[in-house]
Amino acid sequence: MKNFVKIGLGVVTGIGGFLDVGAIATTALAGAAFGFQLLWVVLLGTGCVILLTEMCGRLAAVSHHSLADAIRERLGFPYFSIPFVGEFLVDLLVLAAEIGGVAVALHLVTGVSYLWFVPLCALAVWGLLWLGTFTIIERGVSIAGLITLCFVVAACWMHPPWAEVARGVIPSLPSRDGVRYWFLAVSILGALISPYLLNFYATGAIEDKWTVKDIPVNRVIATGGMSFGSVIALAILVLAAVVLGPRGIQVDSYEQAVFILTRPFGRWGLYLFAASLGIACFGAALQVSLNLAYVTAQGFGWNWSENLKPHEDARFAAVYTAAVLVGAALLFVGDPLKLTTLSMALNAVIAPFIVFPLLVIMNDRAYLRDHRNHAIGNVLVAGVVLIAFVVAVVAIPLEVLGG
Amino acid sequence: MDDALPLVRDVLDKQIFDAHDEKLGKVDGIVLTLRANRPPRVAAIETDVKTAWGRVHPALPRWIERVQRWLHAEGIAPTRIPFEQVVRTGIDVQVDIDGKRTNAYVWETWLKQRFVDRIPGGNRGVR
Amino acid sequence: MRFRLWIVTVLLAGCFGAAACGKSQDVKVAELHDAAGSWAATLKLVTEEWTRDALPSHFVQSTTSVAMTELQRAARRVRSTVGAAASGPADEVLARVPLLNEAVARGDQAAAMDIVRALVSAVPPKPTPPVARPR
Repeated sequence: MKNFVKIGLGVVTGIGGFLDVGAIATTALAGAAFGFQLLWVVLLGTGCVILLTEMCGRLAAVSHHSLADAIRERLGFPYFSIPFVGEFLVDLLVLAAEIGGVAVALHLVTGVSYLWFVPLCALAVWGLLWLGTFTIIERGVSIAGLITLCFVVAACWMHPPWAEVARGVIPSLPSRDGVRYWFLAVSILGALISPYLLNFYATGAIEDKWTVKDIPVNRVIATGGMSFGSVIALAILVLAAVVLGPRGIQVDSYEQAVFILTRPFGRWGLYLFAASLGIACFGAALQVSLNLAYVTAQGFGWNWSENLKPHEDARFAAVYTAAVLVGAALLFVGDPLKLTTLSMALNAVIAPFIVFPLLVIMNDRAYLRDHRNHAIGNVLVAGVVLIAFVVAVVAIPLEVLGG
Repeated sequence: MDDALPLVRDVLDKQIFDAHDEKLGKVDGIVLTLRANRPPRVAAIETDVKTAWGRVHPALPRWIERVQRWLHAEGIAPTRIPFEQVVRTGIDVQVDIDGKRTNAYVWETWLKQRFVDRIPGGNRGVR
Repeated sequence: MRFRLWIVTVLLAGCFGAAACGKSQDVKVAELHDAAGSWAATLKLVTEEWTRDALPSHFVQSTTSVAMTELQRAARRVRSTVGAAASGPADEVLARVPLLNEAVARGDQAAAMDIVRALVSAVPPKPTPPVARPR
């Protein structure tokens, strides 16, 4: 019974925590621009994320070390400094995009410029980090994130051509705008295979005190939670393809994305879109700012835990405080949607430096003991590493040419 | 310890835990004593942000020192723990000292006093 | 150390190469025309949603404001590299936005719909069919 509750909560966390501003923006952009053609990229990204999060959860359950811990300890500080600096800078951009997403959600409903809401949203994020615990943050916000299931309901309501949707899961080459097609594909992969998600998942397993007995639970949560979350991203793409594409509307602002819910739901659609965007981004802002502090503390061996009071881990608390301040400040120099697409492309650039070490760590007896990867697992991880490297090399040129 | 100890694999970059199982930092460096006509001796393990970044590029510790001078925090020496006090190695390193008696928590204490304890909720909250 | 320098050099060369290639003038003009068509269609849809009370009037006004900002920026870029004539479709949209704002402020749904229908006829958008394999 206890395991069922754990699995249920974990899957719910996966659904509510999967979606963030990057996934919303990139899938809406993709659906409006290319119909159902990029559905296969969402499925590819989901498969990669399931594989990687399962491994990160297993690493944490067996060794009680997070991914950042293991990368530093196994590959040394000079190697660790590369993904650390890269992830730190990119996560600041992602954090800015997430705080911006919450502010934009409030702007959509009130009409007041989103910049007025930025300090309020940043204060709310910081306040929950300062006073809350990991359980409140992980479960509370993610359960609220279930509101994003409205996208799935709306997609069914709009009666898309399901045969065409099914054909979209098969990879295809673009018939036009090749650069933009591949730029969006890279951005979707960058949004789904977020480096911050991997370390946050592993650290969460340590915060929740997982042990070897939780390995089967980890498999169900990684697979179920991420799959259900991916269904929401797919629904957004389908909605954009059905509502925006035929009208020739590209998504250059969040105002244009709102239509995907107002067409099926009328006025309620505006409130549901704003609530979904706001809650998903708020949850992600908490995760990203916490992850910045986790990676720094774990990299340098400081005391850390969101379940401790700030007095007990002052350096950890100082990092997430500074991160929220910088993230909020960035919004006064950059547009939220443009910050989102830029940060998703940069996510793709740093991903291989974080994914590659898994090939080494998941086969290390000192960390995984009898729970090391089987041969198939290693082949799959090697495949993901190869995809990540190819995507990383093309991400920046595509951003320049197609972004 | 009579067997050979792979210093890089089992000591360098590992998490240090003190006698009370508190985190003390990572092993950022290993200090050797060079002796005339004899093999070097492992003298201590060292945890310090300048030591870690110095392994990436030799100019970086000088930049860190500039920042520390700006914060009026210069002169904080690396935390060195004599190797005799290392009791366990592996994926973690355990040392037989009380971490609070070292200078490993200087920054932690500075931040607590200057920042955390001055903000409401720093020592309270729903823990 | 040397290996790291090689990686950084290759990545930077790739970025600068891509930036140097940039986009041709024809591509920039085509992108501006697509953006103008997209915003024309957006203004039509937002007005339709407003007339059926799915969206409040402040939402129409913030959408027109974003449309103006985006199109003015894009049109300025194209005018400076290609010439004033190239920004025609964007200028069409920009010219009608104030009229649309006035109609919405008055609550005149019929006038607002006339403006956006004329706008979409003058600056037709490029639709993307909801398919997996466009022909």
